[in-house]
Amino acid sequence: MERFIKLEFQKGGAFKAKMLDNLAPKTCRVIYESLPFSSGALNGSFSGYVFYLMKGFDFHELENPVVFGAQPGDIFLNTNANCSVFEGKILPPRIVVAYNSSVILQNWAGYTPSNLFAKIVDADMQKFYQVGKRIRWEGREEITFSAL
Amino acid sequence: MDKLFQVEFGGGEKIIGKLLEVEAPETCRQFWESLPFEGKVLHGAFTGFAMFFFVELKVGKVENPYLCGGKPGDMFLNTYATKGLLEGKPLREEIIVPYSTSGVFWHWAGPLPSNYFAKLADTSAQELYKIGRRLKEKGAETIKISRYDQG
Repeated sequence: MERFIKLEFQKGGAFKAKMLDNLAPKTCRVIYESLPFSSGALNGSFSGYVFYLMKGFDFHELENPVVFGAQPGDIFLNTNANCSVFEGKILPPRIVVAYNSSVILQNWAGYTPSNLFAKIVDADMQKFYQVGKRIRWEGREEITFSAL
Repeated sequence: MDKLFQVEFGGGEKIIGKLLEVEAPETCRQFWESLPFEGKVLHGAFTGFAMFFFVELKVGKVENPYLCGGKPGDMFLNTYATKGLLEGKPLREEIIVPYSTSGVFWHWAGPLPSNYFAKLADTSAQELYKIGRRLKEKGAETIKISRYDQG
């Protein structure tokens, strides 16, 4: 049976996402078993129109990895396959969400192949873009992930 | 005599910068003529550890262009030599200021060769890093630039 999750934004907006269990079963399981959770989100600095969660996950395997071609609403787990270090610490695996096209998943250490594990569905993607833009212009925003 | 200017951020920090007139004369001329300036500065989404703000300059040419290798406090004018539209409108020229290393000037329409035209004081690197991280966490803030009176 298909599984769905909800992303709810502190400053307004809630969106449904479909888990891609067929494509990334292990990643989906790790994320789904962590629900519900909340985390601050920030706009990416290197990848373009994405925001990422500060919360880390303990899952390091690459399955269904993507670097190019992300579409608005695609949800990834960046497992930090390139072992990037920031301010002296190895980054934990984090959720990355594309809110527009023209995304390349990368950082200062190179490409960051990330597991595509869910996708926003049944949504006004223009509204979703505006939420992403708000995070970019207004800074950190809390997002709550829960099961639907 | 060097032409100096002062950059003031929303948090009250004031940093002195110097124009590189020999390397980028037309960019420097237009930037100098545009002062005083006030606008909004924002963290970059594509260029890495850098901040940027839109300006009303019309330099329209690439002089002293860089794509990477910018150091904290270096100032670049992105003239949008590669063109590009955002939300259906042509992009305005913008000034990019790295606050750490590891910046590459690019966006969805390709590389953005940008004119290296000014440099903030070397002593400001730590302060600039804090400002950059604040922009990322808290979003856009006001930036003011004025000519610095050396008298």
